[in-house]
Amino acid sequence: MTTILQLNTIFISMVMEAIPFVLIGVIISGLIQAFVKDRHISRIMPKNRFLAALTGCGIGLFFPSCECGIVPITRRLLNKGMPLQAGIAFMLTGPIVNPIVLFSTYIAFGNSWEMVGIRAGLAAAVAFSAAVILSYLYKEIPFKHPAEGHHLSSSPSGIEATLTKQTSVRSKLYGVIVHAIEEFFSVGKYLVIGAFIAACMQTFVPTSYMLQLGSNPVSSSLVMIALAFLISLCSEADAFIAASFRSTFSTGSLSAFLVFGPMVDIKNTLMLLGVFKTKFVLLLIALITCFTLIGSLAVGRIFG
Amino acid sequence: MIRFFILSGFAFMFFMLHYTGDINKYINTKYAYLSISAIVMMGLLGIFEFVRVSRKQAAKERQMAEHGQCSDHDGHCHETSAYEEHGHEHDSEHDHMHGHSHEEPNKFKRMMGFAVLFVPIVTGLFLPAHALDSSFVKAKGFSFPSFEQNAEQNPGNHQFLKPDSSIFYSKEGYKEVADKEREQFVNRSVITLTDKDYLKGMEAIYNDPYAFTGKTIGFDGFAYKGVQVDGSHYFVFRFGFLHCVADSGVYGMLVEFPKSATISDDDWVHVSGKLSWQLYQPFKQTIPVLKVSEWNKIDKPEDPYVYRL
Repeated sequence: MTTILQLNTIFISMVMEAIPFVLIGVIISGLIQAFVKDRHISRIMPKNRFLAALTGCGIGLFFPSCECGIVPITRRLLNKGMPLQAGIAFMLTGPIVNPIVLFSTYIAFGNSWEMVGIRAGLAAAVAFSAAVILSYLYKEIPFKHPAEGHHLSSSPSGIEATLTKQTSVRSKLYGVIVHAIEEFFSVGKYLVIGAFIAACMQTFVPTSYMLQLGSNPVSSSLVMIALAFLISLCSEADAFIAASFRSTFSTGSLSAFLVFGPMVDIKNTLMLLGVFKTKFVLLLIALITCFTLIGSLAVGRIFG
Repeated sequence: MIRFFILSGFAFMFFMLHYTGDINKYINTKYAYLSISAIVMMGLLGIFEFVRVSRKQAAKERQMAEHGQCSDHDGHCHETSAYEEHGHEHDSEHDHMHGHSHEEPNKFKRMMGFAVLFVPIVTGLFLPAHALDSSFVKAKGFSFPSFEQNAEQNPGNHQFLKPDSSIFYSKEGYKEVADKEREQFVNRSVITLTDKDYLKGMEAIYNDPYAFTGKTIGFDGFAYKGVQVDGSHYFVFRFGFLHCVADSGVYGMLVEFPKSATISDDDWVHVSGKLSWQLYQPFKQTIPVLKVSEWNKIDKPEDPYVYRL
């Protein structure tokens, strides 16, 4: 019984921590829906595949969102005609390459820019590689319900349709809220299930045991990747936890923790599964894992 | 309408946690502004949804009255009524029908989605917040790296047992702050740590244990037996956290109780005694140990956690 209560405490605390950011995410998503036109995106986005992916990596700088809020924003941008490689690159880098997270990393690692640079650089490299490869494999955006996007973008009932027809700011704002609520409910359930699983992991899998497994660079990077996935911390707090592992883990494996966690953890895997096809999500995670592992080994070589 | 209940349910749950003060068992109160803004936002969204749905219902009723019996099947109406007049509604009606054909098989799924969202509201409101205790120390893990090692070489080394905020400051800045904090404690011959200065005081002590050797130190915490500790030794710990319970860590000190003491895991105790040094076999190093002169069992404090403020 005690265990269940403790499990519930961690579960609720994760939900509480994530919900403010989910709300920010869905409102940004609603704003994009109402105010960003397809042609705006096609004007900014370079036609070139690689440049588009690079642009995607850069957009994150302007969206202060952590991984809980990024999935709805990405879905909305893809719906608005953003190319897949740019959308994926944005989704993966967004929770890392943003002012709040970089600053907390700077503070957590003793006011040094080195880890900030490693984190941002490795994140961009991993996201870029994964996004470009996926864009070759998928010609169309692999939404789970291809119709859903359109269904959402055109308002469901008559009264709203007439309202959105008028282009006044007032009715646009109305649309923003309608979409934000829609979005909140479509990602909320995955967040809740994800937080629950992560809380189970924290309760039943002793991290101290896992930490003993990291004996060589490859296995310690893998342990850190697994840990990042299982404990599903918010990307704004994970730098402090990573910093506490500094005595036992090398810079390379810590960079794996800091890059992999915000891109893939239990919570946002479930949110991704709610939006994209299962096969696509699995492939995405496999690619991220490979590139993070390779990248962290390289970081380990360079920075020791 | 279900959405309205869920949104306002979340807002209400967050509000209740703030209201009863249980919020500090879940998140660091330093970040309370985030959940307060979430309450406001969800409250507003809930009201919005309520107004929207009731307006929609009113409109539907009006429509029904206008169209008479065939209002149930929009498609039929569409064919019989003047096409030109309703031309602009075509899209939305089409959508509406589309939505209908899709809704039936998905209804169960949607209901499941709502049910899932109700779970945290219900458990948050009705299950008591349970503080982490000794059964969790193992899962969280604590280690005790050599604190004599220079913090410059290996900063952030001691996140367990010994709180280390050096990571929050620059090198000079930290020395300054550490010195200042040390001054707050080092000149007292009896140091009693409160919930407020627990992390600060522990850090000062671990930073310069020699300066504190022989002083009388008192603090509260829960007992944890751990491994390979003989009968009279217990760790006395507090859980401290940065953001929320999910990222908490364990901070405290090894305490030597009198032989006669009977303590079990999770007993909350107040201990005070002289600081000394002992070899702790599992870590293979000497660590500060508090030799208890006075101790008593206490009730679990209202707020079992300590925070980094």
